[in-house]
Amino acid sequence: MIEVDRRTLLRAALAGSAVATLASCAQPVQSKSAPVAAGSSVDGSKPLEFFNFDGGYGKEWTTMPLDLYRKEFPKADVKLNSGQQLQQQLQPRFIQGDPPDLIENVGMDGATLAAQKQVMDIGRLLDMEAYGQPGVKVRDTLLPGVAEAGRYDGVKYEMPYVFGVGGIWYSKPMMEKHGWEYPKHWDEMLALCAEIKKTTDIAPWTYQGKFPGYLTNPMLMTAYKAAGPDLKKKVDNLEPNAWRDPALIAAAEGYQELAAKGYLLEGSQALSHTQSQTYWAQGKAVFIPCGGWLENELGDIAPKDLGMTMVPAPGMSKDDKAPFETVTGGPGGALIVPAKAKNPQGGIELLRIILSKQCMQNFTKVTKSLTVVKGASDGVELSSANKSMQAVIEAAGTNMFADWSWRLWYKKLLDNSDKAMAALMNREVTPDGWSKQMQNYADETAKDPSIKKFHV
Amino acid sequence: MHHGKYRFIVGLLLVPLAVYAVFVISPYVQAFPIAFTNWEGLSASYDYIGFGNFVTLFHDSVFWVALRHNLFLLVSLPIIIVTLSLFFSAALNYRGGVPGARIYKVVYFFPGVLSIAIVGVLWQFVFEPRNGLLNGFLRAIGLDSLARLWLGDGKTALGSIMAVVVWGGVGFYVVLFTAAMAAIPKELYEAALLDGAGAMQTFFRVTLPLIWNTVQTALAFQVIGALDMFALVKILSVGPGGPDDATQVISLYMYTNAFSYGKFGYASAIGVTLFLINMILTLLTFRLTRRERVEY
Repeated sequence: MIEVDRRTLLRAALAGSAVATLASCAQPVQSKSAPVAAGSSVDGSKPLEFFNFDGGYGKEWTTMPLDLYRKEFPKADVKLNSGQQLQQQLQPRFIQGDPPDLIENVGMDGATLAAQKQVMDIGRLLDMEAYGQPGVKVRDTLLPGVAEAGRYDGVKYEMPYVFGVGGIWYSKPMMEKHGWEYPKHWDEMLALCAEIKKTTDIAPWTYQGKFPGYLTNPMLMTAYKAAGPDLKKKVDNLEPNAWRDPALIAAAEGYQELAAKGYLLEGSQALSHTQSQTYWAQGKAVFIPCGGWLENELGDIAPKDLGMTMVPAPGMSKDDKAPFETVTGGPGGALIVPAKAKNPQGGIELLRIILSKQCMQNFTKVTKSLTVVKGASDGVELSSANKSMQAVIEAAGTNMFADWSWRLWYKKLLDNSDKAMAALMNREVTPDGWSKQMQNYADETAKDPSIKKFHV
Repeated sequence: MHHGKYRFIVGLLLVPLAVYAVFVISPYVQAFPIAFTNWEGLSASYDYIGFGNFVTLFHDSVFWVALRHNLFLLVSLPIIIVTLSLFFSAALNYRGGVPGARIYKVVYFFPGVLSIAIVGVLWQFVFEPRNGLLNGFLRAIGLDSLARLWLGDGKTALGSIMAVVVWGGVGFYVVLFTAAMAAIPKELYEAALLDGAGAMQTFFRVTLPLIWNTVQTALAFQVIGALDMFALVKILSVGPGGPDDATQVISLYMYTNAFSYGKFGYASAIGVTLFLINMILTLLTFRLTRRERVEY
């Protein structure tokens, strides 16, 4: 089902960024070697296969890099394969030792692939010469944090290609028309919701109820802002009683109010992402949580004058320990070269081409998404949504952090958090019960010897 | 030329049997050794860990929730579906067939023509809480208070999916039972009529005993179906399997472990357990529903 891919996309889009956190405690590897000449070790007569995830970003963007590769190596048989069920499609090929040469990985567990040494160390790519920019290393063309992202235990296995943030979306014209101002703290948010409910027939909030993780995101952010970065560290490290933190319980109380006080678009808890997002774009709700791909995903559904605007999730109160501007975000997505690929040098070469300024510019144009390469959005006309995201990124500065790491490392805990969130929003558990339940799930994960543990 | 005939038959059967062995039997058999490993499904390496997976499974609360749901479905679905389809086919066959019986048969059978994935997607729209057919209908006839989140609410989610199974399943059994009933000689009914039997008596004393073999087969099918439920739960439910495991079933939990958590060994252990439960229950169904064969 499409929904499944959507969720894995959500996960993968932030994947690289969380790993950056992990990498930050690994030893920095100083590389003093000269830039490796482009394409030097590539056998141009070997066939090359690129496996693309035909999901949120589609496959149109792959045409340009593949054509450039064909031009460079006219003798190579360059093939593009696409799919949406990578786990099912590629798993047998990994086991047989016949994987593609480059994969846009959405759906396969990157942590497991790295742990099983099924992916190649692509660190040397960073010191190669950037495609189309003689004398410049790939490393120096990337936005800050990108080179460090995608590392497991200090080894660079994944190359992120998009740059995204997650937050709350609203329609700017709608907010202006009613004279509403986006609140920075949760009590103000509830007050605004009360006003919206009283004065209009628009619902204050909606969310992708079938996939409650979309709402867990801002809720955790609100708790993070109240408690400060220590909270994330405790939760990510599966520390005892981390989920019992008062800030998390308070945030759960706050978000449950949305359901309790009738501030949710009726039926939100049972809507899929497409349904809820469509209602939001039609102006039936003011706020919706989502990542940066929302605009591309809505496509023609969104009215031209929607004025999509992203803002950070509200904090808790004036006593917050982290500023309102704090957001989750950073480089995301993962291009990987399988360790057992037939033509891994070709895979890395194609990766180098993909990361070139012209290909990344093309990516931004085609997918309306920001990428990891400096200046790749220069000369591309940005939409209101993209402009607002860039503003969020700039305002955040050093207060941007990668996604909560436990969401990437512990898939089962992530699924369980969805369950608990659904129960919270259906008011089947109290906020305190929710925090106890999450603590149980975290303890289960901590105790399970079959799950490999990481630490921040 | 008996010899040549057998060779011909064996020759014809060989290819399908080989295909069946490679694509059906062999994966089944392979699941058993894999259930005793910690294979994560992305490389060719794994270790044998004895009964470790089964011990974990025994302590896995989600598995027990799933099993409870499957057992509930196992008891309720066959009763509902078989009762309903017996009722419908008896009504169609009343006095040798009501007018328009053939049209009704087609109408009943209609859902059976659709693939289960399409059924799931269609019913997603029916259950959609805002503009869905079901809530829309309830509101239109003034029963606003009955409008629900259906799939989004733990209290109604499993029931909603059951309703889809019943809707999709009844038609097939109506046709099956109707065919079986049509094979019963008319003289028996005439005799029953002469003896002064009413419609109820005729059904329970004549019709039901004579089609019991078919009912038995239907029940066995239902038992296996109730232990599966994968596709509909995967497509329809929140999560899927939710909200909060309210629609979790064993087959979905097996899939999630294999393809989301990368625990193929554990998933195989779930599969093997499911297989054993399935075998036991199917045998039990045949044993419990066994009756004297009626000759006519």
